[in-house]
Amino acid sequence: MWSYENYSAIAIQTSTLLASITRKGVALNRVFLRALAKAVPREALITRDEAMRPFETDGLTAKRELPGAVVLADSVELIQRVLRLCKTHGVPVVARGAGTGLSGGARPIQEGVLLSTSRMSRIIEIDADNRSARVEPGVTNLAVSEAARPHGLYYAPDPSSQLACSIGGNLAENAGGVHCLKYGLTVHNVTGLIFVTIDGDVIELGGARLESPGYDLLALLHGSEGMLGVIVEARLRLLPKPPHKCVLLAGFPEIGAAARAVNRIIASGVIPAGLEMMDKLAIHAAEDFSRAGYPLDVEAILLVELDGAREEVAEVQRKVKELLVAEGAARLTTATEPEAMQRLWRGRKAAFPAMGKLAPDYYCMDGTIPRGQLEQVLTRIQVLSKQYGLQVANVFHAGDGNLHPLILYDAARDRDLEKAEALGGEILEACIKAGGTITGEHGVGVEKLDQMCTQFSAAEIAQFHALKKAFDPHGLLNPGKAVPTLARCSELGGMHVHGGRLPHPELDRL
Amino acid sequence: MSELEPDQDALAARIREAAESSAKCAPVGANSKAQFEASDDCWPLSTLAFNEVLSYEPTELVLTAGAGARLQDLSTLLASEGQMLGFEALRGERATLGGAVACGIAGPARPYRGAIRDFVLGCQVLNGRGERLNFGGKVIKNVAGYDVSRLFSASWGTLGVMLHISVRVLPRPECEIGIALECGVQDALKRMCEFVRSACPLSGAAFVDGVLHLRLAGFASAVAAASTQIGGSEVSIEDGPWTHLTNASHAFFLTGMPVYRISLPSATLHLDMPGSWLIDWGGALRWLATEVPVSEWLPSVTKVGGRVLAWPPTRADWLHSGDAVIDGLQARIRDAFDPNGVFI
Repeated sequence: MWSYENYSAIAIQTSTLLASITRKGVALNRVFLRALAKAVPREALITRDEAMRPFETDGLTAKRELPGAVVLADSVELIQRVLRLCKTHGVPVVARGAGTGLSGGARPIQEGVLLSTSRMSRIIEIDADNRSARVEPGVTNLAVSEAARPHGLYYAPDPSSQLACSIGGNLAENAGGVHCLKYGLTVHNVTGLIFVTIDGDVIELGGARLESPGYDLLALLHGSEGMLGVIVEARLRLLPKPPHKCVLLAGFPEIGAAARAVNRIIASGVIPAGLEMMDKLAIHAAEDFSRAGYPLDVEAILLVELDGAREEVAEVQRKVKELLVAEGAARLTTATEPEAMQRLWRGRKAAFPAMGKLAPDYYCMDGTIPRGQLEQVLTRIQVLSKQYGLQVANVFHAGDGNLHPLILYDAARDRDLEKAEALGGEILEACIKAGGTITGEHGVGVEKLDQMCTQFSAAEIAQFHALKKAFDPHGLLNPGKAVPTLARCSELGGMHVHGGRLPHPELDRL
Repeated sequence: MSELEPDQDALAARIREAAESSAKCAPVGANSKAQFEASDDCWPLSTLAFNEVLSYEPTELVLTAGAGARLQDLSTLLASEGQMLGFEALRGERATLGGAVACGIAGPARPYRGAIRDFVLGCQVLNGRGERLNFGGKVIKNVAGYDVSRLFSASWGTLGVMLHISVRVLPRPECEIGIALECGVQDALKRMCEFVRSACPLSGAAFVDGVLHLRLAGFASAVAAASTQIGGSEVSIEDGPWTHLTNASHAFFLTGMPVYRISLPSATLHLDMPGSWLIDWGGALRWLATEVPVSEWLPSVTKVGGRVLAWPPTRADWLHSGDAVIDGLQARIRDAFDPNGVFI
């Protein structure tokens, strides 16, 4: 309805927007903005530059861009309205959860709308008997487990940002975490979702049941990085809390021995709930920061979490200890009390912030390799680290071969960021060469577009584009993310001939 | 039966030829699920020639094999390393890996270990243009590109031909036992729900002929502890209903009465509809054999969030989502992989 209130709201927003448009020379046209202000309640629309600042980047903070407008959605209907409007006007939309993603998947674009779902943070239902939670996309990952706890249940995927990251973002990125090896990624723990298409249609996939007719669009939406639709509700599978747990800490005189111990544990038929590795640099930083009691005279440590029935945990613990010792574990600590287990995990969880003591900035990489290649790839990373003159700390999910090399640099130092990015690129290429992939759980976003060209052929990338088109024919959902254009790949292909280093690193390559 | 295509290039050529002559093609494995499609007027694209194991490193828990490899042969190979396929698939003893993944019909372990697609890590396919494409990979954690390999799972050969598939495999449980408990249907549903909430090491829970059958798998000590707690009488896995449940070959299916496959939330109370019931997946899969027309009882299933398929269903039944918007989207997805409409 047209009212004075509406009118003044539009007038204020339009004038501020016009100011910003003039300043930035950006093209979110006046007609669209008027229509947006009319469709979106005043308190849900942000158009002032200063107010949009918090949205200019996600967890990949090196590059920033202010959106054309921010909509803080609080209902499915509002999301439908915004998407329809954007479609009519041909305006791009970037969906955003909590903005903790590490690959720039939720980075806004100045000629588009940033659609935040963080206000939709209701846990709609915990259905204990069906071990299922129905939640809105803005609910944080940890909040789900907390709501399920009184029922003796929890939600298994636990990315390290679980305190802040949202379920919508978890689905869009197919988030992992420490416990994936045994309990799977997000895609294995979601039985249904509701999403809104660019046409504004609401589509419900799956439910609390396990089987639904039709293509497995539920799996396809996972990890699709907001390119296919906007997720507005999820049905999560909850698991019973394991009755018993224990955490083992083992120190190794060399990193190769730790890598071999990982393979021996898996080969023995044990699938630990968590199996993490840290190298010397990471151990020292983490210990300095958190006093977890890690040994400092070793080259690598393994953290092994075992869970299950009491008898099972006792038996497996014996078995794993034998294997660790057989590979030369120098120090072995066993924690069975909750406090002691937490203490051992504390160092691992503090590893990222602990890097702040070593260098002003760090760049977190994310590649996966077959476990058997751990030793070779870690050695290759050391060589690259020396070559580039940048330290690399390794803290990672060893059990599933998911590496997180942390490249330490100083953004204030000339060319350090470019060097860090180039080093990161070479690490990812080493992952592909080892038979792995350029991203295990952080997504491609804008960060790894170039490496997509190495991992996939032109025909495969064209197939991705065709699939995207089936959902979003005009390319309005999160354009420029996740899948590179073929033009970009062919340009890069030419550049690889000249030694694999990107010319003009100062240029924005997005 | 189809003739074997000697290699991938020949198969790709066949697809392009079909496109030019406006013919239809359909990927075919061992034809063990032929009951679903009685007479296809189309060119069969056999994957049986692609039956080799391309890579298998037990410590990686990953196996890559041609789509034409028999599940039985793969199971034998895996067993020699103390491992197994993570899923049970319909007609597992005759079926091929490609057919199992393409149809995605999982056995009794489904609620505890996961769907067939949960074990798919990557695949090599031929699309409707005859292009050979690789998606996913051989590692468990991988989010590069859209998850096309899981989209191909349960797509019934309508998006392309799978040539190779990489699957996650599991360590064989040290011990697996069956338990039988006599009880009524309401009680069985209630107990299945309790067991699964108490972290019991289940790998199957089914209510068949008035008996609640449980299958426990894991470390011997954990299985023994759970079994003591549950009580009942031990039945060997072979004497239990598990194989017949996996293959939908139990006497229940052979009475000549119309059979329906009903998927619903596992804790749903017993649906009081006339006919005989067989309950699998801990309550999440309920089979109904009845002469009563589906239209008379469908609303009570829909009301509780369930879906019904007449058994055995056709390819179209499996793929028809029942929602016009989704069906439109599916048609565009098909078009993206098969612009010439080559596949059935």
